[in-house]
Amino acid sequence: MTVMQWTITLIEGLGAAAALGALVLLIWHRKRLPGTAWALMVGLLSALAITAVGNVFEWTEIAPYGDMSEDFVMPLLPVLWLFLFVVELDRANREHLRTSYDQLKAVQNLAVRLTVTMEPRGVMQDVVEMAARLLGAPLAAIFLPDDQGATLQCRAVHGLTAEESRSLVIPIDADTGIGGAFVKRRPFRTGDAATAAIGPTGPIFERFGIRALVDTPLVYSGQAIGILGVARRGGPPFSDDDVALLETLGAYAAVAIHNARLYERVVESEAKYRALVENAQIAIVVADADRRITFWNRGCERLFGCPADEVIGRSVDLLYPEDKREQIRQEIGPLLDRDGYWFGECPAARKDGSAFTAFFSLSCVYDAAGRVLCTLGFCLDATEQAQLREQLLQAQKMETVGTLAGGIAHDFNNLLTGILGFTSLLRPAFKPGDENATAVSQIEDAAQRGTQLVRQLLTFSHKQPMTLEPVRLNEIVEEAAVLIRRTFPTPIRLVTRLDPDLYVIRADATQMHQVLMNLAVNARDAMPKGGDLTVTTENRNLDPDDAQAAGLLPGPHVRLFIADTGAGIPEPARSRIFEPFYTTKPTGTGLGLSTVYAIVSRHGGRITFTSETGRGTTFCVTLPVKRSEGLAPMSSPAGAGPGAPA
Amino acid sequence: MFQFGEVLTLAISAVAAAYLFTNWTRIRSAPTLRPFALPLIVMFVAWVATVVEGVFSTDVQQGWIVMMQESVGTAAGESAAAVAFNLVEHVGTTLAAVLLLVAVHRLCQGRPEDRR
Repeated sequence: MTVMQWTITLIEGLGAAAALGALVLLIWHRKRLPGTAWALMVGLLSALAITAVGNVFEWTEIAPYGDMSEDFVMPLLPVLWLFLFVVELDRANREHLRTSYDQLKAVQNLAVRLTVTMEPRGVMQDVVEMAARLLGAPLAAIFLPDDQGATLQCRAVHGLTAEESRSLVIPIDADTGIGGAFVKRRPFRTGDAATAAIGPTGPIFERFGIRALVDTPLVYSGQAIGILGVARRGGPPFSDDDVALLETLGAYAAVAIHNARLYERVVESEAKYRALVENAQIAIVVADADRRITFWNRGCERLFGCPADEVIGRSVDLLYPEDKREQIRQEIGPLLDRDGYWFGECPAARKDGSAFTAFFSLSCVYDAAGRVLCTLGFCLDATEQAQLREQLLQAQKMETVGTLAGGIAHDFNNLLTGILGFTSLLRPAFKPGDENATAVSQIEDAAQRGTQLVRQLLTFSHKQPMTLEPVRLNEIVEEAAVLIRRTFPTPIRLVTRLDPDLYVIRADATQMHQVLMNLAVNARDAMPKGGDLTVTTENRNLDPDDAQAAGLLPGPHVRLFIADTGAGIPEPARSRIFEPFYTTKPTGTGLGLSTVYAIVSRHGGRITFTSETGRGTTFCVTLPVKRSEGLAPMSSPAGAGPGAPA
Repeated sequence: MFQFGEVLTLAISAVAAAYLFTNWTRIRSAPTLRPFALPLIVMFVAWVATVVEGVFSTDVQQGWIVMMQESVGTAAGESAAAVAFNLVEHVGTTLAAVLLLVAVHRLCQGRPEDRR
């Protein structure tokens, strides 16, 4: 054999050994490869081994026709090779399709889960878990920019502890890998994180043994809101398919994170405004299109005395007095339907049935189609305002009438002065017993009554001079009591309950006497068949709230009650009894109570009454005590006892 | 002189190589196939060399294409070109066998990702 023959024999021998070695390996690891591929590989290697062995035989001339293998076996080699490629490629394609389908299904499941997960942290954790699973990566994380926008911080992680993840802070720098992915909104991939240009985070990744990583920006509406990344501690770099899959996940994650953040803001805002509305002093009620109450705040509970759980789902009619519901519905309903809002005062009812005046502001809320979604109502207790308005009207009316009456009284007084003057001149012209003398006397009496009337008018119109001095109201009551007992009919029993420590007030004693007598006379007239007339005095300190409610100043006051057990004041007359010239008596002048009202008002006090038909009326006169006077209580000598309360 | 088997092998391997070329993108992403591509290319070169060797062969007394040729190797006085191509053929075959051994070893011993 020549050198050439030996060389080729050795080379072919080596090839045969390699082919046989591969064959043995393949047979040894039978289960590590798919069946068809394994069989084709075995065939391929067998053919190659036979060819190589044949060549050895040929060149060593051990066997004749040694190169028969070249004619019959060698052509099998490319055939088997081709089959191997076709079969394996088909299998790979099918596997790829199956994997893609599985991934698509997983991504779809994730998308569904993300739509129902509204908590940002939960959304991010779901995404990193899914990314790690789909890409077969042991590490996955989501990074979000900090408040200053200087660094990306790890907000959700898979494969690292929370403590470890805190050290993953990535500067937002276009020149670094991950920071650049965020700035440029392009994925970043590397197979060697330790040496890749990923900036100061490189050593941290090296500490965790991270080698291959891919990061994709989370982009929402053209803006990067974070980074989704996966990493391996070894193995090949991530493929293009991996990057594409991660980008798909990132697109879902960006929308989900954005929505979750929005939802979180909405929830926070809703909680804030709910607390605001729930705890508002004003009553706020919401009713649906069927007029059923859907919201009832604490202000409503206070105002209507009814807890929310008792009214939710019930008709808004319960806000109104039962006997006025239909009327209110007919009056307000059409206006609300037409304008979409209504405001004004209307009667309202508490849970206990007590009625009060409420100010309502109602507005409808519509959907996109213009249908009424609900009606929003604000409600205030307007009782006090209504009373104040009534008082103001009354005061204005009294002032007007007083001015008018005062002007008339002056002129009338001048006329009466003339009449009385001339009657006094006429009287001596007639003998006593003469008819003309009697006529003059009657003219004089009538003029005198006119004078009395004028005096009352002047008092009412505040034009009567007032002499203020320290007055012990009990003394005035006792003086009046003597007069009452003498002049009032016997069936009327006078009872006095006087506070011995009553404060001294500063008042016009004559006018106080007039107040007492006018009220007592009214009480007498209310009890034609007799009854009890009770006069009571007491001290009363008004705190700021009571004073405001009574329209007085806070501090010590004296109260005088005149109560009868008569017929009571008829309901229609109650709002008019202090009007001048208003009277229910056939022979009354209508100036008694209006004069009392004027006197009490001039003293800085207030008169109120309660009346019950058939059971009587009680008037209450409240008069202020001036502390600066240093007046002593009734029981003590003037200036010697304890003074008015501090 | 061309041996029939060598010509046939080259023709089939040309088809296989064309298939490899047209599907290269997909084959590259298939870890099972990728290691088998390089040995095929090497073998293809070896088969080309085998056929080209026939062009330079002086042993043509039995016609251009022969079957079941009893040969004792490259005849003495064969041209240097024929010797060189013959050497390429055998080296290529052996190299392909070694590369296949490496590929099989990687498939059988390698990481799970490689077998995916």
